[in-house]
Amino acid sequence: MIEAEEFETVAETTRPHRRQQFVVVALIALLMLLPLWIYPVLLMKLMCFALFASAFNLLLGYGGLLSFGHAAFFGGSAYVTAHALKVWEVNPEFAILAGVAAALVLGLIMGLLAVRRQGIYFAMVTLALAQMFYFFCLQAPFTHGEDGIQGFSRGRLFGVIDLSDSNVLYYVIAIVFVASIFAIWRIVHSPYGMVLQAIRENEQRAISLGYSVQRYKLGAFVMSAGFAGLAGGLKAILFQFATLTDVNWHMSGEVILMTLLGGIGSIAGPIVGAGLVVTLQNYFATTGFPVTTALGATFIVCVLLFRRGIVGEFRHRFATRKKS
Amino acid sequence: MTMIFGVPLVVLTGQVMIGLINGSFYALLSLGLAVIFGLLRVVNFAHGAFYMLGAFAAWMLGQYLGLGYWPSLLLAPVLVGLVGALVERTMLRRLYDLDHLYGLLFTFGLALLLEGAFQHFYGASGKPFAAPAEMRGVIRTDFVTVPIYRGWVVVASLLICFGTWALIEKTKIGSYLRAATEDATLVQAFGVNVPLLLTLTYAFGCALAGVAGVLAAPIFQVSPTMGSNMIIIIFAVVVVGGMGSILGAIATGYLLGVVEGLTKVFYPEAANIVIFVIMAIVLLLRPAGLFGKEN
Amino acid sequence: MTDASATPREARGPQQLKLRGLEAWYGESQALYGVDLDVYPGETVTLLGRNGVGKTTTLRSLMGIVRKRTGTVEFDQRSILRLPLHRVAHAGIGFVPEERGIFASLSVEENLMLPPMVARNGKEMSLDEIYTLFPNLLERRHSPGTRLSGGEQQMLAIARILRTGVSLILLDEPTEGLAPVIVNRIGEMLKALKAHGLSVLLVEQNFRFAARIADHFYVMDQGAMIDSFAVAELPGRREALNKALGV
Repeated sequence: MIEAEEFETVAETTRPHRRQQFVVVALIALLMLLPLWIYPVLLMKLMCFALFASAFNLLLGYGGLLSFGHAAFFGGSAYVTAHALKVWEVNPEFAILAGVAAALVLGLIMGLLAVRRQGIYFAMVTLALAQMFYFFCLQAPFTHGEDGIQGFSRGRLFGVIDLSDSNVLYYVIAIVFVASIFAIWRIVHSPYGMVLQAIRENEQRAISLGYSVQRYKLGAFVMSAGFAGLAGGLKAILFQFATLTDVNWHMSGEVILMTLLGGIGSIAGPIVGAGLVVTLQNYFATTGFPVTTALGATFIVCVLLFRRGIVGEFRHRFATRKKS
Repeated sequence: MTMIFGVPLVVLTGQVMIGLINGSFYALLSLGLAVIFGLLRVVNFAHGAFYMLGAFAAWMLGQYLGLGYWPSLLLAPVLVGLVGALVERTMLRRLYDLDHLYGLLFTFGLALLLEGAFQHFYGASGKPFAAPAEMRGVIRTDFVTVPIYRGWVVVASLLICFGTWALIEKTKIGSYLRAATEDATLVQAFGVNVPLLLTLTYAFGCALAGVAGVLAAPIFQVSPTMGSNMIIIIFAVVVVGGMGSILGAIATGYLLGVVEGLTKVFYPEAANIVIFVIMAIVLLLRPAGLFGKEN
Repeated sequence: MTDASATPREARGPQQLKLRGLEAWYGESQALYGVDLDVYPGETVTLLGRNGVGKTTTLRSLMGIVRKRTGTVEFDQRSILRLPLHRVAHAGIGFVPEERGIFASLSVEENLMLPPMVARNGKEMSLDEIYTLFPNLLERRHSPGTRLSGGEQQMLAIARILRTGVSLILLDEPTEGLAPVIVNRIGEMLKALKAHGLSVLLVEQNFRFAARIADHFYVMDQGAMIDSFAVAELPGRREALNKALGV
């Protein structure tokens, strides 16, 4: 298992501190004001990826399971959401629900197979299954192959709110984002989340205590897939297209990097990491330096030098200073 | 014309042949992966990148030094092995005491870095690489038609696979490797330079991928993405075979190659996912893999 | 043997192995608290003590298998504390671990040939000599090492170290779980080693076994050395020893 001391210990914080509550409220307020200064589309993209990374972290950080196939849920849901908007012409909320449902089903199927193996085998199995899904998307007619699904409108939320205005869409995505992060936080701190973390710490012990380990893992996998699907659906609505890029294994790698860079096993880590990776990508895209190489190098530096990630490293420094 | 299941025999044997060629690469690559994993407990995600590196090294040796196929076939894997040794010495060895997932993540980063760099400098399109002149013909018999070069690839990979097997099972250094796979600390306490053994093993595994790359260059062209497409299939192959056994890795490689080739005849739409489907079935029926022992 | 034990240890020459103030840690928890121990050339030294007092840890720390340690570890008057693990064997120390360390994926002969030669000083045993001494091993030389019986595995574990030409052997509970007949054979074997001029550092729970072959005793408790005496002093110490060992 990935080093335990690098994770946030959650036992003591089942109820948020008053100061923490204040910080959270301040952050949400900031989130609502940010579009005054920053281009909302960039912010929305950040939130989509932050949610994606948080979903991934639910599985890795708290379940100890490294999935190399999360692109399947993200991109799969993006396809279904786009298809629902374009072909079925449903309201965006139903389109996203359809996308999430697809991600959940896909997560259930992949999860049932993957939880049969552990550790690195789990990673390889998820990668291979996601690649299979990639080939499916490459060949299935409804995805339109290399072109992807595009040329649809964002529609009206609940038939009323017109999402074509990016400022409006911003607040919709922000609300969904905050609610999802809160939901993930609740899951992590629920009795279910505690058992999950106990399994991560010591699987044999959890088995001997009578927990059905595979079912807990599968549950985490499916939930993680669902949130990843939500992120993918939002992204499809935001950019009004869904393509093979979103189901490619590179995407699975990127979400791992976001989580690793930000810090595995904390709520803030993946959000920070997603922000950094997206910013890095945007930056390198303008310099002409190959983005893939930059990401690869970041990966290597992360694994070799700061496995706690940015948030984890920060916490660690803070904790050791407090101790001394 | 002889027909089997409504398919002309020549077509069938032709596809089996193509399957055997793909299987040759699967076998060579999963063999290297298994050797590295056995001792280092690292799943070498960069294995595909080293395969690509082998092909590019051969291409560059030809392009810049004017070396022919045969010298490149020897030299390119040595270069790839040196790169592997350097990676192990400077970086990978810091991760041995950590969770195995970090080794996977590190080598994933390495794969991205290499692929991105080659794509940047050499473009995404494939570079043609000619088979040696003496192997450009075709062998034709009543029931099979084989380009000579492809026949050579199958023979060469069989030789290398069984050479590697013999090296591990029948030699002194192989006994060090097997023993260290069981208990590296004790072997080192006996006076064997295990850190060096680890470096050599990683370098050797990477060199195997390099050989596969050179062999593949005339068949698939030389392109930066050739490795990442391959590595995912190889992962499925090792999940099917289990990484515990050298012969298992080799056999599974050839077997899945042939199955894939035959699928192209009978149900072409499924050809590029059949290996993943088999992996899923194996996971359901025999989660530890055909030759695997779960640990 | 009686002659040797009657003369003081120091007469054998400078210590072959000298531990002073050896401390060792497993992660954060300290396992050894300042262990002092000497092995003189040609001597058989037995380390006694109850389970978990640090006997095995002493062997593993002086070898360098446990890396986190401080203090003095000298072999033939050279510090080996900073040597990488694989160099320690080449200084002349052979290690026979408690779990015997026979490799399942190696044949009996491969197991026997595994440890590299460290010296050609006349102390090493040739393959022929080993096979003459242990005909069972010759008979089974092509079967996997772990197919041997427990006693045969122990013989193999010792024999493969003898082949390398080390001058000091660390033996961790060689008689554990073996039938009395086999224990006797191992006893014979250790006497033969001694006659060959090898030094032995033996960790043993079986006190009666140890009493037959050792020249000098050390007693450990809670990670520290609590007693040290020559075999001649043994009779007068029985009582105290039984107490310390909890028998």
